[in-house]
Amino acid sequence: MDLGASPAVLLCLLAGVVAGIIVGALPGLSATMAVALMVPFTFELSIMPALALLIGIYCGAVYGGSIPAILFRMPGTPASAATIIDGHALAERGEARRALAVAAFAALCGGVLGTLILIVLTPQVSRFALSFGPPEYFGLAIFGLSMIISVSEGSLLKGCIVATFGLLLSTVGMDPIAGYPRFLFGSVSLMEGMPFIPALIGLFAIAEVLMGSGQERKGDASVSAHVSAFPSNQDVRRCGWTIIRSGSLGTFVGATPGAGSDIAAFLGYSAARQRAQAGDCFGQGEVKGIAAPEAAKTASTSGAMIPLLSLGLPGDSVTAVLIGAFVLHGVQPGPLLFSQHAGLAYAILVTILLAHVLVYFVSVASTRLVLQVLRLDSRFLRAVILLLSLLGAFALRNNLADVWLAICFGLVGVLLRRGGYPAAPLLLALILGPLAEENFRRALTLSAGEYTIFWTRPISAVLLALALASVAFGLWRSRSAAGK
Amino acid sequence: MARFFPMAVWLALAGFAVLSAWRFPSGAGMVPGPRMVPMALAILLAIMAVILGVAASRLAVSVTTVGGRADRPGRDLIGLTSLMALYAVFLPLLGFISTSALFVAAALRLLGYPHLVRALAFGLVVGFSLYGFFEGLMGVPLPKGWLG
Repeated sequence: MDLGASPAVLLCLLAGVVAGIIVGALPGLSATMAVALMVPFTFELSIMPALALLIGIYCGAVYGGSIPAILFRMPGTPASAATIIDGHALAERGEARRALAVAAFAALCGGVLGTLILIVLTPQVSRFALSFGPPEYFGLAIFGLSMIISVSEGSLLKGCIVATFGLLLSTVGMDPIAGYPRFLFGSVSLMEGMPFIPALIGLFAIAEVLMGSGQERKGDASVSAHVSAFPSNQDVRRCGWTIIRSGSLGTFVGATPGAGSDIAAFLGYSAARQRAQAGDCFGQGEVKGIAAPEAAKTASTSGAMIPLLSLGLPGDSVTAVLIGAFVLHGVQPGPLLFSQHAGLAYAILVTILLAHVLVYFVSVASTRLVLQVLRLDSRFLRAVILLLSLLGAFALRNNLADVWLAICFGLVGVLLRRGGYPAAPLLLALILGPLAEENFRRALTLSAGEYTIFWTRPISAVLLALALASVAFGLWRSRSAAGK
Repeated sequence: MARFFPMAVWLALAGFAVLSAWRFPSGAGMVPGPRMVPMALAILLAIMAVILGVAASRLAVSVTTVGGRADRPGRDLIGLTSLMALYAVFLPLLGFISTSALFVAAALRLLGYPHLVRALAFGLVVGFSLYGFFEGLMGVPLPKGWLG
């Protein structure tokens, strides 16, 4: 345990957390990019400080994306997109500090819960996650798509139209199975598929600035009724079960290779929204709508460590880079890690736990500083947000085509909002579309075209049944709400 | 007629997708090829567009401005969009720092900030800071151009 508590480790962890929060808050800079960039610099460090630095960046970046999402409707990371729905609505009501406090608290609880599950259930969760084949991934994607009902504010039909449009956009690029170019019209930039980050930046950040809502927000931090950087007892009581449920869900999603924190966040949000009680105001600044995605996405970072530590398999792109860091320092993660390097393995678990705690304290300590940004003249904020959006779109692949795409998606976002269409289903469809199509066709290839493969495999059948139940329940709720 | 405009737009998009997807290979035997999913989605989009049109015909009010802020003057929208397009054009030519400084200054002026010199100074500070962070610290290569 000394490995996990030495001053050098704590210092590296703190530096990683601070750097991670900054990286996460800037669109276009991802945790994967930051971790990959820092790996060579850890050559000179011994293994624990090196891993602490990288784990700190990872955990910090996953939380950091929520700060601009709440304050400016500009998600720093794709995983923060779900937080926008209620987080930004609460900030617009002049309760930005409360929204940040709930987000940080939920992220802490989700992270700690995920790490505890990681410590206790690593072998079991790994086995479950590894039993996923194409039909199960298709089931997971369809279950995720059933959330469109939850994120379609106002008209369900419009939500479904936007989602179908998003799914259609997700087919742009090289066909995932046959490698056939679809809807490219001569563009080389789109060969890898519709890039997600420019779409995210355009739909949320650019559209928000173009709609001009930043003007009304000047100085709203000063009118906030909630003055503490910690959540109120009432909010904690209100979100408690939501955090536990979303945190558990996020851990399992994170442990499933290929399903990252973005999917976890949307699933957590949907699960919370489907359990909404009388008096909950999802979509209009409901604290449960902030707590659920925050807990789920942070827990998913611990979940992603489960296959990494127990089987040596990456749960997402960041853990794939982390494997490289392990190997660089002479340690092979996998089944033998806990038997051959037990001290190191447990020190890593403690470091992950400490990283989540440090993220919380750094975020609480910086709340006042972060809120000062809101006191700036909104014209300066809007100009800088636009520049950051364009830079973020460009920086991801150093491709000007992505800047044009972000501008186009910004205009699409404006048109959608003016027509009363929700933007979140489009984003969800862009995330889940490729996963759904690829695994749908892989499954059919495996079964020689037999559709029964989707309901003869238990996990896939359960996921599809859950999706069906989720749609039916959502429709029932929507009809009963309309009838009142 | 305005209430049928959204239906027409979605139908046009669906029609375009169907026509484009028709050229994709259909697959071998029972195994679906690249055509199946986009074609199915385009048809689904068309069906939902028609339902939207039917729903709109039953409504007495226009559906075009629900929930949006359509009353907002379009000056900012057109000005800022044009400015972003100019940014994308000039970024590789002028380089990151100079283009960003000019972009921020122009955006500030467009948004009603009266002091041009202060706007330019702020733009330069932002440009240099972001360049230092992205290129210097994070190693993200940004266009140098002839000034930057």
